[in-house]
Amino acid sequence: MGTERNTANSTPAAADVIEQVGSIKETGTIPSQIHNDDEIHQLELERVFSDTWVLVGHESEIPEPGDYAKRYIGDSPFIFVRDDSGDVQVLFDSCQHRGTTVVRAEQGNTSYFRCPYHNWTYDTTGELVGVPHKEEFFKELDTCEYALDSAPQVDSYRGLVFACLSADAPTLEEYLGDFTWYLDLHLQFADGGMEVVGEPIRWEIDTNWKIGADNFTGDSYHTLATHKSAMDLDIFPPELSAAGAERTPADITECSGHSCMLAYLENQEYAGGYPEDVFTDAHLSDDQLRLAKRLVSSVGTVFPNMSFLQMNLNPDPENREVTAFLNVRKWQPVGPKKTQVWNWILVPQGASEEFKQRAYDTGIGTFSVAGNFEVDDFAVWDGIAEAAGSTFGKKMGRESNFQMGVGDMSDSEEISDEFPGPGEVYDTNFEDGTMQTFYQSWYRAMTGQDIDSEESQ
Amino acid sequence: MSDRFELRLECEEFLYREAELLDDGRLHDWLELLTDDVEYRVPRRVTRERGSEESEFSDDGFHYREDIGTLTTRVKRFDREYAWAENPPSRTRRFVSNVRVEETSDDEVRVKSNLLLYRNQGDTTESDMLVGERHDTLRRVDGSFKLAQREVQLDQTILETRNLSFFL
Ligand code: FES
Ligand SMILES: [Fe+2]
Repeated sequence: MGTERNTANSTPAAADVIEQVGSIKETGTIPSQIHNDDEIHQLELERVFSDTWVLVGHESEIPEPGDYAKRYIGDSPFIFVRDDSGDVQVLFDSCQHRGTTVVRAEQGNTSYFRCPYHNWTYDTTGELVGVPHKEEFFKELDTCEYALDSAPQVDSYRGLVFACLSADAPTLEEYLGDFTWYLDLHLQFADGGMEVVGEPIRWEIDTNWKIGADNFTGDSYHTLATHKSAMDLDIFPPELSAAGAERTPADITECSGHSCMLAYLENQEYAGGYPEDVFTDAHLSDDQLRLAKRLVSSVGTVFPNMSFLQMNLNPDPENREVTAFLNVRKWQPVGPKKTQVWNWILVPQGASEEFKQRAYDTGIGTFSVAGNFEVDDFAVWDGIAEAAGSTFGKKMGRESNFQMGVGDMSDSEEISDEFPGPGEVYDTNFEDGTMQTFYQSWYRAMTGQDIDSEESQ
Repeated sequence: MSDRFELRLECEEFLYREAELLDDGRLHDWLELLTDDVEYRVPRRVTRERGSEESEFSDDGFHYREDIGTLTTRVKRFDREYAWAENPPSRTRRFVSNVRVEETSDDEVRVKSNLLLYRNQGDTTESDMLVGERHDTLRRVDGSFKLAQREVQLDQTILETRNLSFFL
């Protein structure tokens, strides 16, 4: 594989900064500048968000023909729609006449999209089906040539719909690669899979999109500091947290360019976040099911900007029980120092209504704009971008450190041979290999390589 | 003075007092103003086409859906030094206006009001503005009002704030 993609048009200074990221496996550091820089941001839109697979939504958000939602890939607007024959489409939201966006609402149900400017009308597959006064003024116009553009590649995995703006890039199956083993732990353990509850919660934070994405590859280190108050109050019961002696950790690095962390209760058959009866052996291997039942905490990032989190949490430890939920995230780049967060809560489709509501309330109560676990992250992430974009920070070549637990920094060991899942696996959650994988993929995407290409720098 | 006028004054007094406690960070005192069965909700608002059959206010998507237990846990967390979202604390000012008494029963009053909430925090001139309409149920308990239900209908679909580490 490895289609050569256009990587021209960067200044020598930006190219140099990007090159330094390519050495992260040797240095364990990256230039902080990539977390707040106009040129890097623009290059990311042209490279990362044009050549990789980006999350659009979940099929359960648009169950009926005509259901649609407005979505974005990088800064480009798209329509996520189920067409009249039941297929999912991802259409560029730009009228073929003069180009304005045709979708005005955030989501809804419709049998056609009518452009507000001159009323060209498209059906739910994007075909142009109406041109006002065509017989008088547009006699020669061949409407077949004016369908809304589809994203060049659209595919789904276990209900999650992704699109890629390059026709030459690898397929979604190739792109997710071995990492599906871990996605399945969170998406395939129950009959009927997972479904989205409510509409994604959206809000904007004053930091770079990569900060959220790298944190969600598994920054267990920050949990002890940033989230100490949540552990003190048993919102995240300390025995389940990174401080807990009970839990068995695993960091998954170098897994087809993606990475995640897992923690599970090795000695308990069932960790208790989901109702036991939703688990099924129908879609997972024995090893996967064994792990899925024991999970207490996991986070991961599908490069570039989709993250997931599943945790056993409790927003009211005195009166409620610990509950699991699946949080799916999109870190939409709005500017070098502005990210729109998209936050979905998913629950097992076959669980009881009572459980689904409890899981949803646990999810938004802990991991969302008002999440009493997560509000503290947003309070510290702004500062990273602020210093990274500062004149002195750039002048002195300020670096961010991702050396924790790697190499001789700790006694952690690689357990890839014993561990049932793929990737380079370590027996700790306190190592930065998961983040190194993220930035290595970023380097590759910024230099026109596939994210899992063997050739490094 | 008519009874209705007096009732509205009484509601206003409650809401102003409540806003003062929240603005002053007296969150434990604020909890005292809530009934044990309080329902506190902030639904997700969705941009819909005019004439859409679906409400803009989601039935199943929420920023907050809380009861006394989860609210109490939040308040306890803010007491902690490591609760970074409110350390340093936000400077908030709540403007509660357009108070309308909608419905009364023996011990409950349904009252709508407008909320304009300004928030500034940390070493910056930037601020968040959250604006919406509150739909409250106030209940008389031992002669004074308590908040039994609140739904805040915000005038934003994409929230203009890094985090909601305060109450609306
Ligand atoms: S721009 Fe859409 S009809 Fe003219
Ligand atoms: Fe965090």
